[in-house]
Amino acid sequence: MIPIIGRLRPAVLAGLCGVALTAVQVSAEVPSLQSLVDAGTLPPMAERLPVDPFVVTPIDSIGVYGGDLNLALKRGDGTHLLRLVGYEGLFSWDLAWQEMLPNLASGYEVNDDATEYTIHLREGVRWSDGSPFTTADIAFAYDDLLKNPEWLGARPDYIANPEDTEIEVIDDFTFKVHLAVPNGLYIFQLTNVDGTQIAIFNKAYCSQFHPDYNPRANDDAVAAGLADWRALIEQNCPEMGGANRWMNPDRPTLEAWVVQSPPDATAEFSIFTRNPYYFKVDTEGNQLPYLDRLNFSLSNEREDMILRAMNGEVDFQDRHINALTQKSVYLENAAIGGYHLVDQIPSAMNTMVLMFNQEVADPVLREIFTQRDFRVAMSFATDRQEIIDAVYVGVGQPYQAAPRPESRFYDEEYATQYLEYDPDRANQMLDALGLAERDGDGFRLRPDGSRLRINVETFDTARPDWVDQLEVIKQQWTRVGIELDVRVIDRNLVDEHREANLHEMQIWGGDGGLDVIADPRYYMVSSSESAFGVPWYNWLWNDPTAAGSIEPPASVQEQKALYDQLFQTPTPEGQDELMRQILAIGRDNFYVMGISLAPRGYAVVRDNVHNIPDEMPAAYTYPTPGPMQMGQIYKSE
Amino acid sequence: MGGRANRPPDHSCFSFESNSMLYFLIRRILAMLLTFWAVSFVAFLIMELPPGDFASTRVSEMSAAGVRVDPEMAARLRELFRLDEPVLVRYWSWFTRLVQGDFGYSLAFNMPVRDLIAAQLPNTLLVDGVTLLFMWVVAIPIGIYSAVRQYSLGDYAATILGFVGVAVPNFLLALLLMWLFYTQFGVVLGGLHSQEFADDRLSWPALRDLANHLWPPVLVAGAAGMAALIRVMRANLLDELRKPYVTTARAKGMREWRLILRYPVRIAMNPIVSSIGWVLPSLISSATIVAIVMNMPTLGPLLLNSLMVQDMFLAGGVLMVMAMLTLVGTLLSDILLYWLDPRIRISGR
Repeated sequence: MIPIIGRLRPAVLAGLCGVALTAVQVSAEVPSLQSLVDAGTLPPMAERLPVDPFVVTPIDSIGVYGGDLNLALKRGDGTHLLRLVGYEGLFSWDLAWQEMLPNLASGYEVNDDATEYTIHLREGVRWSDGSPFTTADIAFAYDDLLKNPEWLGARPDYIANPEDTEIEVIDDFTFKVHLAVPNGLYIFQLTNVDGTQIAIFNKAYCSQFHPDYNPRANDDAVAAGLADWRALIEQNCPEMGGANRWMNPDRPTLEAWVVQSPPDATAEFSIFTRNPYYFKVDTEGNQLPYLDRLNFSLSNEREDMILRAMNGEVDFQDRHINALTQKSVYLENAAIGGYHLVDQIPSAMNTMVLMFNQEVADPVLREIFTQRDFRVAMSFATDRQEIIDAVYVGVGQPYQAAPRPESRFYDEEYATQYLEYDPDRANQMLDALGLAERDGDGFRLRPDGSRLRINVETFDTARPDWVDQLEVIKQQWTRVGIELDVRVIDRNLVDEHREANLHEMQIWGGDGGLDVIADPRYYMVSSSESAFGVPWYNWLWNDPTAAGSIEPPASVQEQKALYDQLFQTPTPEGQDELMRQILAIGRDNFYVMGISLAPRGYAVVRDNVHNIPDEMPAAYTYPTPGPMQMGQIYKSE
Repeated sequence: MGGRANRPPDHSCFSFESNSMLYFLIRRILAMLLTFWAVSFVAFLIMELPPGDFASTRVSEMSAAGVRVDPEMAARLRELFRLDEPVLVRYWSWFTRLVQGDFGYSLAFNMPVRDLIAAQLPNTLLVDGVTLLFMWVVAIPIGIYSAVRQYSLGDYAATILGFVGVAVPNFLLALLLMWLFYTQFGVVLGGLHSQEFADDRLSWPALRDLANHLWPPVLVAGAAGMAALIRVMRANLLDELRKPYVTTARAKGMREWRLILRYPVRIAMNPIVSSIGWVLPSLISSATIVAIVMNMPTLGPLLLNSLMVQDMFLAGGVLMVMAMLTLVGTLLSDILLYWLDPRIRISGR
């Protein structure tokens, strides 16, 4: 067994601990908790903190205690709260999304073939009710919930196959994970936001809703009007995602703030108050968070959230209020609202990715779509600058579906191949493919004599700009004799058609521009969202003998083999090398095409709010703004 | 019964014709029960029509947020909430519980539907009731005025205002009002209560705060309905004003305004009274968009939300409450009409 601290940067860790030990001795009490400590209802700060607290280096300066952070929350949006408050896993991303830092854990070791991980918890971390956080809590989450086939929540990627992973408790602060299938990305997966799933269940509290610990759990559920214990535990100790998690003020948590008045379906406001047992301190040993409360004003729609932000009623936020089209209006009103904007680098690499279904049921269309030259010709037939001008008021940069320039996987050729608008060349290539015949309206004919017409299905509820882009593309493709039929349908139907392989072409946002290893769906077949080959996905990842599975071409199989190998590689360097090989195959096969590099986003920050970085990545797996450490934000008057 | 028909009609009270009134009521109530059942059946079926169900919507929402969702999750949810059973079986179990007063559990919000509705219903009745009052108090006098002073400058002004009110979509009016107040006064309109009054809803300052929040949605939602009311009132009254009984009363020397208010206005009110029943639900649904834009804690946004996530029990519960309001409203308007207009009493027999 070799100790690997991966990207934990040992020097930094040692430095942090040293600072913490000296600092704790000199720090004073949190002013808003002083009266509780004086009354004897709360232990003093030193007793509430772990032996070795997580030391946060403030982004600009040491803060002052007190105050509310005012925010706007869209009703039912648990993801906002997860990103803002809920990102306290065993490991956490650093601000730059490069290093994995120990968070509730203090470190780990892994064996050579990535099948056994030993993880050490930070000793003395306490839940918000004062009880200690130990391996018993982790084992409860692992065995009784996440691995339990009855449990309703979303099973995270590190427990994708429950029978392949075992947890072994060594002592209160050490546990081992045994994996039947090597997983070099285990710590990476724990560091991503879904990793928090194993560290949010307080065994003492949550086990009272579980029939293995409380034989009357099912009766309790029925008495509460619910079907059985599964619904009962989902009500009281729900999983990580979703809004339900924030509805129970009694549930102990490890986060900086705990819910006081829940943001339920009928609430107009919601308050979160400081957790007196939060395990992080600043570099002077002051317990975090600086801010006493989070104060959410709930909204049904974005319009009034945006108006509130412009009026200076929102202290720091990106979610739901940072539409690109609003940016100029924000800048105009910045002085009145007393705020400024900071940059966000989206993890997406593209405004829209177009995917021809290479296993489409229509055999003639399939023959056409599987020709790489056809896909290249359609890329030449697309005037990306015109789309950028028409849909994004000129903001953008023509870009293929390839890793972002900020990524260490950036490959200029991948990102820029076939970008130029060249309808003549597109016409030549299409003619050469045997599609030279045209009908009376100037549209090309397929080899079977019918018009070459492509249906693209999408919905307009999440990203109206997708439909706008498609309308421009439709006109551009008409010029080379291809008819694009844009069908705006219900989102569920889009999903159903994709899962059942009933689509000819689908489009989606360009996920995976920064989180290349975690989400390579456009570079290879890695998800059922890889709409260019859903039957290939079923063959590779699910059951090759099942009805919806078709054996993929060699290149796709080779990528999957490399990806499997990547998972078995314990070192990040080795993983990166394999990922580059996967990307090179994706580049050469040109499965899908992109339009424009997803532009930088922004967050709104009031001028009296401090310790906000000038730029940060925006993604779900790096749950913006969680990794910047919300606890070190403070406000001045 | 037959003999009584020859007697002169008595306008003073119900008691004289209590039997026929009772018969009328029983018939109405039976029809109401049947309608209630039919509404519940059709509503449930229509909610079933869109593709997917609560489980698939939940899963696609989660994957859209970025969560990695394992394939069996939808199946687990479906099994627990019995979404995989046939529609009719689910309808019957929902309906039998509904008639016992059990609205069930909201799938999306993990709360009893009854609690969710109970939290929003008073706000809804308040906003919509005030809107209704506002519409009537403003529209009926304007309608009377523009009928009596037909083709005057005031009539034209009221007509133009009315048509603008009908033509401008509610949500646009709401957004314009919000933008105007933001740019001119630095105030963001929206919500129904200020945070400092979260625990205190009945003191004077709290009521004043409520009034400050109440007028924008009332104005916006009232504008469109008001326009229609003005036109209806004006047209009806114009018809009545030309009738001989008005001329007779005038010839007898009755004072003009007293005459108009006493006879033709009373008749002209008929269509307005008979539509009381459907005013409330149409207000709830037309005010939904205003409530969403202006962030009102009312039933409209809750209904829309539940339909979007396919939370059948919540959506069904809200719809049935609205159906009940409609039915009770219709009954009330029938009773009112029965009292107001003798012709209905006679044809009702």
